[in-house]
Amino acid sequence: MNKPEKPNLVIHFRFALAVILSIAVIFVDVRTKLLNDFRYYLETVLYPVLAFADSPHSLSRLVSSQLKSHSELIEENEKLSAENFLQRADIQRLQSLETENAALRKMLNSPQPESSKRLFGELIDIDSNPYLKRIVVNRGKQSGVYEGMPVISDSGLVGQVISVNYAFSRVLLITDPNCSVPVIDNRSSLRAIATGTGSQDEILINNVPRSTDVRVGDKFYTSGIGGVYPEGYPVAEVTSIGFSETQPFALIKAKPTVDLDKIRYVLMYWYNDVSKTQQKVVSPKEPTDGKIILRQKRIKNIIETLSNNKGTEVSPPENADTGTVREH
Amino acid sequence: MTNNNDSNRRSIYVVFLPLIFIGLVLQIIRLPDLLENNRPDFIVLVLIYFSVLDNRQLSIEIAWITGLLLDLLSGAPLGINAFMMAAQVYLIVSQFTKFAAYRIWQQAIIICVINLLVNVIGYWIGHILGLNYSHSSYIIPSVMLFALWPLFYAVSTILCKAFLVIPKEKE
Repeated sequence: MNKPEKPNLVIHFRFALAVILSIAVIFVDVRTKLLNDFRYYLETVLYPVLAFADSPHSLSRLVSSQLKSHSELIEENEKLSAENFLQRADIQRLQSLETENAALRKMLNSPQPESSKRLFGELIDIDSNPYLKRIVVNRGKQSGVYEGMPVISDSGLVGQVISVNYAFSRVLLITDPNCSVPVIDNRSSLRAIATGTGSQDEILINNVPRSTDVRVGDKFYTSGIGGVYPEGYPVAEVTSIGFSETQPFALIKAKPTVDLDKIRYVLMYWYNDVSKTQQKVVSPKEPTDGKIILRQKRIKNIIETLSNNKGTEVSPPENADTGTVREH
Repeated sequence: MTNNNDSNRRSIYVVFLPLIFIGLVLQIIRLPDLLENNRPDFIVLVLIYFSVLDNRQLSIEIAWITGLLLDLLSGAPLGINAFMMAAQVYLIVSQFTKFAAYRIWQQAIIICVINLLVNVIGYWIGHILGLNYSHSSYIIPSVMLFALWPLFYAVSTILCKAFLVIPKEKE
């Protein structure tokens, strides 16, 4: 086009401004927490875009579910009711085991893991960066989701919530290089830490000496140490063990039990963290420790008065209820 | 050739804003596995096309804000995509002042190379911030932009004509 050469200098200046602004914003966002509120509101506003981007996928799902034939449905129904029957039978046994376990734990004066509330969530988006293993789930602060919340599925651990918005939240998968999970070997009771590699079907068991008793096929479960993940959920199965003379540790590779490529539904898991459990242990011995109880009660009251939805029996951490304050 | 001679000409944003929206959705939509790891930057094509169409407007600023929206949508640290979008538009607008006069394939090559260059810078920034781990495949998305540009150019030119953004006698 017939543009004069004059605006060139202005363009350089404008770009320099954009660069400075970018660097400032990157720095502020990565190193400090100043922009968290800003992000929270904007991402909440942008939620319809995310939902829209998922619409082809959900539409195809809808169509394929509508087009199932009658016989297929009957077959599926039969299969499911058989499965349901078996599981009901199992649950009966589980309940008696739970009460028995609680009684035994009471005798030993050890903390009782409470049966926790869970919430069904649906995958609406995956973050498109191939190096970050993160997904977006359609449950947010609205439903009581909080940061650091463990996320499970029917076959094992999925990850934990890393950022929460009003209507959705981002979940860091266990295969992300930033994610480490304290695990325990089901067979040899070896404690270890599993770290993601960024590849979808491989995680590493770190810093395990070469002489340790780990075999291919061993299953690693969450150990509950660290207070983020609940105890006893399957994480990964060992696929290979490499020994190199130059390395002090064994190179143990494992495959996540959850097929993270294919998950569509997850369960958000309200996990009572260590501090609360500890308080439970202490309370029978020192019932006069009323300060903490009073504070907990007050927080609970605030939440109850401020939120009129049902998530009240689970008290999310304080930052969650400040969010609720802001929303109203 | 500004507003005086074509009163029937509509604002460029009639076509631009919907295309930006579509571009943003394409950036985050779920794609087949093969494309998922090599997703081309559709939004860059939109930004470059319109910054070339009227380069006296706020093209760099718009690119920056669009990048910021992309950061928010994709959960990246704020500012990375903003910088990358602004840089690509800046390079086109400032270094190739006669960009519109080039042949389509020449434009496609320039876009491909600039996208590759800026992606490398973006990868480098990500590395400084500790975000990228595995080896990146940033060549394939840029090459895909090369293939997509003629298609996109044709489609958006038709759109612009249909919505009277470009006056007919110009072509």
